[in-house]
Amino acid sequence: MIIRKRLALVIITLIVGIGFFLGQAVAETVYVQGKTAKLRAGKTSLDRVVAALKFGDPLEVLRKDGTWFEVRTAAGVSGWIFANKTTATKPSGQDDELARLGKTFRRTESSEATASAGARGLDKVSEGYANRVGITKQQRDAVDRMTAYQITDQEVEDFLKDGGLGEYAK
Amino acid sequence: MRSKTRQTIEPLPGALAALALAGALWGCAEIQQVAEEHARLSGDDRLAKIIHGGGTLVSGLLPIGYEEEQSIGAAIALQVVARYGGVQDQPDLTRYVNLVGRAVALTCDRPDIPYHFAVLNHESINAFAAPAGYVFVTRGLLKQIRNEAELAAVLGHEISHVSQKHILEVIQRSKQLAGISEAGLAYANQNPEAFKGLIDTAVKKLLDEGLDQSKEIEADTLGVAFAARAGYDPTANLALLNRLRAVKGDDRAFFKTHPDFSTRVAAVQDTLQAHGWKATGVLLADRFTRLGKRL
Repeated sequence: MIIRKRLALVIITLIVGIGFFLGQAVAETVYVQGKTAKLRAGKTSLDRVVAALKFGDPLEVLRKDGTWFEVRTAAGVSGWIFANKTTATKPSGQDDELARLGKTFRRTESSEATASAGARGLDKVSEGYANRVGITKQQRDAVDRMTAYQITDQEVEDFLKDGGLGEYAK
Repeated sequence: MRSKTRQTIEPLPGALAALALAGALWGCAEIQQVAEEHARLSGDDRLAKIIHGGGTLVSGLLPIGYEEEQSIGAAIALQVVARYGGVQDQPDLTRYVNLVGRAVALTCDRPDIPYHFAVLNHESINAFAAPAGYVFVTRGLLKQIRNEAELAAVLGHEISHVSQKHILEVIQRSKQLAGISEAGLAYANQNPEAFKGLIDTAVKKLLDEGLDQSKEIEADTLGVAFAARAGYDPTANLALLNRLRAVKGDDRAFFKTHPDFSTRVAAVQDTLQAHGWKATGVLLADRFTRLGKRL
């Protein structure tokens, strides 16, 4: 009797274990494809935002429903994301080993994040180039203004909303 | 006596070379310098030169960094502006093109750098991209465009030249051919003429010869995908390509720098089919007429 009980326990443990293993093995992972993305409590753009996601974040897919996926983040937060904001393959825009090695080699180089945070017009090298090839002040000012032109991600988000684009589709 | 000296020094070159290689690979220029200095002190100038050359070679093979890319991009942008009549100075239009461009760029494969958009004051039909996110569209092309989805497709095409670093590849090849193998911007500060030579080559390729056809097709394919991800009708690019195909006269100058239309249309159709994308009707023609046609 005890042996049977033990055997049943072992079998149940095995079934649960294998089930868990298979669940892990078949869980689909997608990645955030976009500079940022919002994880929402429901599958509409009107639903509350439960987490702010960033480019390349891995997400475990729990359910697919039309143009929205229910996902779980690495931190364990579940919610809905607009499917177009995800990709099945790890985004290629992130640095590979060679690019990271390059950064180590150019130790004095500022990081992309630092550089992009302070868009500030022409740098010393391009300014020197402009002088050397006789670029006019007007042309230089045009590129300078273009480089320093600022639009926030929120303004872009409002623009998408106004046009009913992506997750704001009407 | 001579053979004894040889015996003590002989293992050194291998160890020094390994040390130098490790230094180069791990980005520790100091290790490379120590190995080089040690070889020189040991009286082996040849080995010192090999270590120096090896380190330079390794750094020359590494991808161009973002700081260098920004200087290259700005320099090319200056030439584009100089040769294409300057930038259209209309704040509302500039803002609109930047909003559409950034909406697409935020979904591209390289969304973590800033992108800058401007309209060139030129009647020819064309669009250009320079490294570090500089994207230009001419007034002439804007006149051919009928809705925001078509503009998004054009900007998506140019954004993908930046995200895939197509022009940086041209620069990297030119650097190797010119024997410039230092990583970073040191060479541009020390030898401005060499930097100018690189920019001249890239500008010639971009504005006169055109990039390799495979790069243009890749840009068409990715451009459609980026615009679709942002939410625009993925078939919009087909309508625009077919309209441009019918353009006659001087405006055809644009076409010598791009693959023929049947190849481009086929590439876009393949992309739509591969993703199962169909027309969605999200074209935003009204918003484009209101904000993008202020020329």
